[in-house]
Amino acid sequence: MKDICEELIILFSKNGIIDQQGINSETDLFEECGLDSLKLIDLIVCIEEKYDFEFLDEDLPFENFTTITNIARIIKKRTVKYNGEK
Amino acid sequence: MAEFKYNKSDLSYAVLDERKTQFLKQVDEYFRNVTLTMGAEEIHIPSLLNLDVLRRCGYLESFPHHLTIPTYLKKAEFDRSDKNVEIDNSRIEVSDRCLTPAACLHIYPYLEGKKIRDKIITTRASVYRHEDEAYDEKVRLWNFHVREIVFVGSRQFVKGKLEEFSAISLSYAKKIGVDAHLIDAHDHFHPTKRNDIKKRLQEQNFVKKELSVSIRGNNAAIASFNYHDTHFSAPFNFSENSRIVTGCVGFGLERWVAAIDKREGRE
Repeated sequence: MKDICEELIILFSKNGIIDQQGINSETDLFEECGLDSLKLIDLIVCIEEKYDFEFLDEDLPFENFTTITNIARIIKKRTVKYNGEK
Repeated sequence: MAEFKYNKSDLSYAVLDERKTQFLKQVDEYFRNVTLTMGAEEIHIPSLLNLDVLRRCGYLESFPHHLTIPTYLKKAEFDRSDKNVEIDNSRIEVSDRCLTPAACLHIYPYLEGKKIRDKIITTRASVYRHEDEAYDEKVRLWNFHVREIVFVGSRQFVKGKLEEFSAISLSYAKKIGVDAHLIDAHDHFHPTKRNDIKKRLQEQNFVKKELSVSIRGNNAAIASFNYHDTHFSAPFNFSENSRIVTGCVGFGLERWVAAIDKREGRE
């Protein structure tokens, strides 16, 4: 889980979605990093391209995107690489 | 007074007779008064809107199909204008404005950079949404009118006002005999991968509701209730570190008239 969290912070930072400085896996991305609905779309597209899966409807409540840990949890659930099964 | 229209086959806009105009004013005045009683600021907005506003809030990506962009005659063509003038593509320039597709889009730039605490703003406006589907003069118009109300403030304030207004709207519809019900809804985005994600996010987070009626066998929204979170407050710099959010309610006035017509058996 730690690996994927670190990977995500770098990924979002590289794509201009959040500023890497001062972010940890529990930082509230909406309240503290200025994540808004436009950037959330970028974030979702960015994850789907990087990890080669599509979020299911049930993954899309905003609560699932409030922290890096929450996002990593969904990715883990949906991908072979981190879960062993799809 | 009988209805008059220069070209009766053009169903993209509606001229309302005196009776329907009274209905429209009655509905508009009702929601205007409710809003003013709550301390709303009423503003006047124009039909023109700079395209830059749409770029800043992602409207061009979400709804390019609704855009109406005015053109004007090239200066060199002025002297050629005579009574037989024909307007064709070679003689016109495209402007960097559009005709306002949603009244609330004027309000966010109006608030830019301001510090706001739980505020309500209302306006009545003429709006323009181009449609791929056929216009029908009652519920699908290119040019129609809205009473728009925007809520700005804390999440609790904005969500509370949206709830309050959906109850007020439903209750008013019942009071005047319009058979309407509240439904969860999503915007009609231009179909792309990114817009499909937007639509699914709206559905899964219940950020949009509509007051729906059946007219001529089709469901039509006579009001919509939209929670934006920081979608507008962030790009227009009044979110105060994501603490200030917005929501809006739009009442489609011609559709209310159509719903009242149905009540009277004139559908």
